[in-house]
Amino acid sequence: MNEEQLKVHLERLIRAYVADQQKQAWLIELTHSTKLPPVKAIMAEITAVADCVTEQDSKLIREIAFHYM
Amino acid sequence: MAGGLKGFHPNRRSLRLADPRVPEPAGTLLRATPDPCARRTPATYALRERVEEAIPRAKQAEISEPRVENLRQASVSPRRVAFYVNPRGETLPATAYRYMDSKYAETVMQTMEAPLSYFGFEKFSTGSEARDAFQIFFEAGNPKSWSDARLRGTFDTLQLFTSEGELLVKIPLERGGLGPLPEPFTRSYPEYGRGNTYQLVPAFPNLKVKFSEVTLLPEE
Repeated sequence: MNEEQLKVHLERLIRAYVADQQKQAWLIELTHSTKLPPVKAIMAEITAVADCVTEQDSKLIREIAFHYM
Repeated sequence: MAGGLKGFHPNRRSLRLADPRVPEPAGTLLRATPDPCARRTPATYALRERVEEAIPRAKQAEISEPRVENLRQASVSPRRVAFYVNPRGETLPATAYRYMDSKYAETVMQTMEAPLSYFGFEKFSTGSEARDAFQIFFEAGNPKSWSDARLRGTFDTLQLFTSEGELLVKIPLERGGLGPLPEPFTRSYPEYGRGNTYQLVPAFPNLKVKFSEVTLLPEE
């Protein structure tokens, strides 16, 4: 998973699980503001607010963690 | 412990032995103890042989004799290297550990390499200890879990220096990379663990490390 793929995956997770529009916009901006986003910070925010995560996204979260956390 | 060993501590990011005000001496070099790791790259000699050069001359006079021998004993055990020191005096313990999800055990054990992200120098013997220290979210059966941290990859930190001796790793920023302050010891996410272990991250993306050992740890 390269940085571009990471950003696509993060943005999708943010849009899917962060309901607060303000927080969602901030996290998406954070995702794209640097070459390598603060992955642990973004994942912590998603973890804190997500109610239920699909099996597919569960695998994705673990893959992101394997590469970037 | 002799004076030459005082500054070495695995929980310090760097040891500023070099004094920029003192010109580099063209004098004798500390000959590296023969070691398989130490012969890997040309930088090895830059790292190992210049240890003596890296100590300011004024400091050299203060250290009781035999100082060079003391330093060698501090950094190199009879069996293996304990620390790597670059020409700037930046020091890394020679052995580091990356804790990964056990889901990747088969792949990592086959390739003996993995992408590097947060890593440290403490050798934990269970997944729960590693998660507690690195503040990794995990609950059995919870699909939001990040990693069980049960796969421990042991690696030689010589590969974290460039051939010129520059470090390829840095102290991460606090709050998962948000900053603004560096976080040498894990502490930002107490809800995921007690933290308080030394951590570093790659300074550049896509850094992979080769492991000398990969171990599947028990949960508890």
